[in-house]
Amino acid sequence: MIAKIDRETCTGCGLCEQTCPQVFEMDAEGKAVVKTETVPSEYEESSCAAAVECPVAAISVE
Amino acid sequence: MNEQDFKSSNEIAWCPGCGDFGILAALKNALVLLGCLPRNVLLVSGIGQAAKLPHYMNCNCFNGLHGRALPVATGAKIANKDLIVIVTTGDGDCYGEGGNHFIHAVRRNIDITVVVHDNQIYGLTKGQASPTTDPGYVTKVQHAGTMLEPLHPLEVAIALGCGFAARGFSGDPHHLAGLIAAGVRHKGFALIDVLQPCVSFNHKNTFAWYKERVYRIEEEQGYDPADKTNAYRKAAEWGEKIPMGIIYRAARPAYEEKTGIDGMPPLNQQKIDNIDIETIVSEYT
Amino acid sequence: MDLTIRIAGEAGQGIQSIGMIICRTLKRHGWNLFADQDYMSRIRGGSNSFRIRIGDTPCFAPREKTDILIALDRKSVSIHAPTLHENALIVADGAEDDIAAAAPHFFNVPIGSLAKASAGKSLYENSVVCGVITGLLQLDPEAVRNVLDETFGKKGGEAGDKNTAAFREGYRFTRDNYRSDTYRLEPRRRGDEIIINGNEAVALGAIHAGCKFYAAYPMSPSTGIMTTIAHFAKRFGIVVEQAEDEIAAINMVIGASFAGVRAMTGTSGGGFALMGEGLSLAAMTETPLVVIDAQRPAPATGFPTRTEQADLDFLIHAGHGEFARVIYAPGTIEEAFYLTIKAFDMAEKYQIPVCIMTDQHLADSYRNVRLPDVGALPRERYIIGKNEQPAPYKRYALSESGISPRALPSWIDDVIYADSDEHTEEGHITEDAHLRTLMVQKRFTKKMDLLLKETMPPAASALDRAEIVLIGFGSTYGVMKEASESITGMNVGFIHLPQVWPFPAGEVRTLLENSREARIVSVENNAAGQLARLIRRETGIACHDSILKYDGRPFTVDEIAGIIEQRYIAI
Repeated sequence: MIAKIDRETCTGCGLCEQTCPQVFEMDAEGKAVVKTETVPSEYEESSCAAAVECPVAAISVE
Repeated sequence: MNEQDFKSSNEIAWCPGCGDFGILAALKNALVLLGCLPRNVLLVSGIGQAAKLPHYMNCNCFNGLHGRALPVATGAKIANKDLIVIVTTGDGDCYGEGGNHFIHAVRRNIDITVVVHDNQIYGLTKGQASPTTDPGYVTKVQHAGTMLEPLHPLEVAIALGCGFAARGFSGDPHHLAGLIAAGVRHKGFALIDVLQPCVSFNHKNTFAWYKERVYRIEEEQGYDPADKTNAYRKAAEWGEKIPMGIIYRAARPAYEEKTGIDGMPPLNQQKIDNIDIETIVSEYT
Repeated sequence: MDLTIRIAGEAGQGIQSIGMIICRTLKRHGWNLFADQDYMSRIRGGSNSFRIRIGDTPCFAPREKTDILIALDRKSVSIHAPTLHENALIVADGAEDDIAAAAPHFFNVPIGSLAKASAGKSLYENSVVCGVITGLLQLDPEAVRNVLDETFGKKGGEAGDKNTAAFREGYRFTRDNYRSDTYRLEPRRRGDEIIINGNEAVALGAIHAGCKFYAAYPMSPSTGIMTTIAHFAKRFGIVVEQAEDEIAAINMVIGASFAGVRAMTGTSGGGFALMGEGLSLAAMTETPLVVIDAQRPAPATGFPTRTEQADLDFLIHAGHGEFARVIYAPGTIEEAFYLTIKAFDMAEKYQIPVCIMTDQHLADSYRNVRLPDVGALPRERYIIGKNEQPAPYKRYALSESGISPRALPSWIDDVIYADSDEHTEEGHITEDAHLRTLMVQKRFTKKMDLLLKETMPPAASALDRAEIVLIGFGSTYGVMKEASESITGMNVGFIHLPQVWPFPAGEVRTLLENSREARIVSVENNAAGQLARLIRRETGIACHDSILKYDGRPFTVDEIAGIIEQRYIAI
């Protein structure tokens, strides 16, 4: 599965990093970025949860 | 100007996932849309989670007392009509503690834009019911669920002749940015009640709960925000479907126009070292 | 010459307008006046009175006894009988009023019928009364009629003529029926002073100081400040906003001051209680603020239209937390004007809240005055301009003095953060212990040290060889001055404090130590002797005694003199 973040929409709320720290982290500008584009299988579930929870729907995990 | 110009390096003390982040992003975008300079913007806030927002922006800020943002904003706008004055406040801050100021600021129709972070709960004090909490919601204080009729801010504002009454959603920052920009451009009091999830204390009106229910009234055929009776009906719509957008808009002379402030140089630029009261002393001879 | 006329009747009978017409005429003829009002908190009925004291030397306080009682209604005669001089003249309508008839001197004036005869309606009774008084004092009727026109003439047309007709009728009747010259007042000189009350003095001071925004909620006895500023607002580019409540008023003023305008609010004790949080906000955000407390008897609603000085402890401690403030307590109309201007200067120089304590007695009393020349008072705004701005700008930059350079939003490139939370030098929220300590020292200890170097000196008179020293603050100045001058059996001096906070301990201690053998007596319109306690707390010196009055009425000269004679001279 591939995880992508729409940088412009991201508000830097940090929820994805809290939900799935292995895939998402906050960068210096306070925006969420993907650590590895392809999501390791053991984190697919948590990264999908992060995508669903994102308050501005900035994350896509397909 | 771009979003970064309005960013302040201050560490943000909101909970991860809080709706405030969406409003912060929307406000920055709105100011970019408006093309204004940080130095000409004054953010006034009271106390609460929402009231911390000005510290996360690169604008002038007056973070005052709980409930008292509107009078401070009114005074500042009167003193310097060229300032873009935006109030960032919460449902408790504005509709609870500051209720009397809210009512009369709308009547006054001072040219300020009021963005209410309406998470339908008191966040900073850990979850008491606010004036907009849905009836029946149980909290550590309202054990049998809130019993009071919610304040219905948009209907109250329309009843008081508010010339710009809108609702936004923190989960749609792009749409919200447009609302805020329109609110600032509106000459007179502009109210934007922004639905936003409080991830820590409002377990009913969550991001998902709002997401399923909000819809943009601009997409509804033939909705006319100038029709007051229709606007009342639209403002009262709550539950399965919740309308977002400019619910009521009417041109009304702003306070600054009615009082003649518009016709004068900004009050704070008036010279005060040449005041001669001899001219009026004669009235007391 | 020291004559007291009391015009008494029901609320709504135009008592104040009659009083003012007579006062303005007398002032124009060079007579000295002290006029005060005793009125009820109601719009119609009850019993009100306007008391005019006329003297050839300046008058600063009321006398106890009334020489001429002008009763516009029946019950006024009985109400005011106790304050009458033994050979006082009563002027009333109706012979069968037993008390009036029993009085040694009674001038029966059919006011009602005179008004109907001359102007067709009893509405013009007050013009008739003006004519009667003009006749009694044998003033130039044309001079009085001019003032009458200026007052009522504004209505012009029919009302103007009716007033004049009623006035002439009252004057003619009196000249025909009152033969004695006892109360004849010769014009003395061309009086070029003005005649204003304390509220008007504060308002004129604010206008002169460049106040451009006044926000307030109506509350007796302070409302006169708002109405006076509103009257002149257009001419001086001032915005007056009646706020929805006192909390809004003080916060609007803070907002306007933050954005760079000299702004003020006024209220009474009850409103000031609502403003406490705002006072604390002004101090924490270091935003200049000027607030007037026109005191009235409390607690709660108390006497809305009467006088008291019981807010002293309250104002010194109002506003939660520790912060620097200044509290002025003007003793005269001239001082009320001057100290209002001074308050704006101090508020901006030290970025603090400055309160002015007046009370209903000072607020509603009139005197003929010349406003002090305030040319010397600085108009400095202590605001840094565009180019003097240290980059990056810190609103709360720590400094030796404790005062940070103050810039206005949008006047400099940098943005300005002001905060009611404890804050960093930049104005952002902090919870740091060390910074908190520095900020408290900045807002409190350092600023208080500076303020103690710029206090208003106490006024002192006849202290050397004084056996009794009266000491008071605010509106008791006049009665202390005249009582001390009028007593012959003993050397009586007095000290008056126009500033009660920061308390001028050094100056007061020196003054009191120089009159070591004198009895120190505080004169106060409150029950606890708040000034005496404050003096003891701040200087260690205890007053021997206090003269306290808290019935809602002001002291009179004779009252103070009488108490001193009875307590200290008679033994």
